[in-house]
Amino acid sequence: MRRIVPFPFFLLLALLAGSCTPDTGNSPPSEVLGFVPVYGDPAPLKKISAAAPRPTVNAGKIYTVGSTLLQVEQDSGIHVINYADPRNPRKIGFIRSYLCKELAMKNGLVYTNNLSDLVVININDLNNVREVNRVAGVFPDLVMQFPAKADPNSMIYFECPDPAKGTVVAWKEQIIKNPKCRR
Amino acid sequence: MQEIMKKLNYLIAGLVMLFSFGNCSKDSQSNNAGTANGAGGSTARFTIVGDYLYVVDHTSLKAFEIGGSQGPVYKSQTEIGMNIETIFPYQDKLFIGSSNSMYIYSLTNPEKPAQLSRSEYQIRMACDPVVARDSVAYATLRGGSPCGGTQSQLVVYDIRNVSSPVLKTTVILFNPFGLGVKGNALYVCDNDHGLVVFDVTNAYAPVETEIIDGHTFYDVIPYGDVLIAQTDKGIALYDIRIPLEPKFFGEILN
Repeated sequence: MRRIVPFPFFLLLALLAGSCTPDTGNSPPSEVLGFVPVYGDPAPLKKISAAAPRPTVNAGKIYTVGSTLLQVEQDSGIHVINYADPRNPRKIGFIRSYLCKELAMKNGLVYTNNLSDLVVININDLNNVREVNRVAGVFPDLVMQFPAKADPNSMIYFECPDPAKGTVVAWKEQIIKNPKCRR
Repeated sequence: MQEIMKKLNYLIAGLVMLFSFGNCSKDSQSNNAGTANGAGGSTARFTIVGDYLYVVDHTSLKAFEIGGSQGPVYKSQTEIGMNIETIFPYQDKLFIGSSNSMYIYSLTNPEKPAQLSRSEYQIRMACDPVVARDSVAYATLRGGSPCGGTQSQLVVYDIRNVSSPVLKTTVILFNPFGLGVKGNALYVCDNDHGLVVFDVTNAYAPVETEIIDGHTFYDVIPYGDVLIAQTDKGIALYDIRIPLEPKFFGEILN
């Protein structure tokens, strides 16, 4: 009873739904380098904190106010960039917010997601970044997860997360067989 | 049978998630008024207009009041449609892109946006951020894997009557992502083809004037005199004091 829904059904559904999903007729590879979920305790993941600037790996969305540019590091936080001198923009900090995908900013307050919660983060002082508000469960979509794609043009395969196993806290790259999920 | 249904549910949940966040990224830009306000890319799902934060998920629009000291106050949820992907503010309106339509919502009542129109695209299954200014809306529709569809294009709508936008022009593109507009210039991220600059002096008839290549472009924010571009290598900044002649300022590598 494990393999109930054949892959073509997935495709059919995708096509019917008219979404941004592959329309190639290829069946999934029997073995491919993909991603598997790592499950863990979500409590520590709700901590918002500042960190030193870091390399950008999975670049996400951007938002600017004044001479500050924010860029999402998909699933892990926000790069803070200062471009007061546009000839020499530089990273000045990083804000950790687990599962971060979206952001906006006003009056020194960053609005972003932390798991499925809406959080408000005061970044007026990068040495004293702090969560000032949280509205729980605003983005249920975000708790259903998939690995980030460094290259939007690429196709990646992954083991579908099983909500029964808990919260996905990371993705590990490894060889997987007959992947049912891809994006 | 129960197990089948369970599996099915997971599959559907997986699909829904595929459709929602992060699948067809398109970004771009814009801002509603001066540099005191912030601006996001055209592929954003969050935006701030005045004292309100608006958020789209794959089917609906949520409004939060953020003007008070007590933090975000949930005001409303409005069902929009399927496969909602992007939200873009312009003045007192929200432009919302889905995989097959452009929606325009009025913010006359900022707590509860009201639909003014829905324009269905002629091609379906595309990824499609929207940007707008007074009388015109621009959207890129990206076909091909992983977006589906067969064609990629820029579509131009006359929105002088916002309750009934009129498709004016279609321009074939390669693989467009986000876009942005400043003055008489329209910037379209055409992926590894480059950043395509269009003269939109005639808003409804864009004329290609330049392609900035060398990078793969994903999204832009024209912000004051600076064009912020998200590329495969990092963030590139351009001087757009003359909007049709972007000049490289500097960049920050990933």
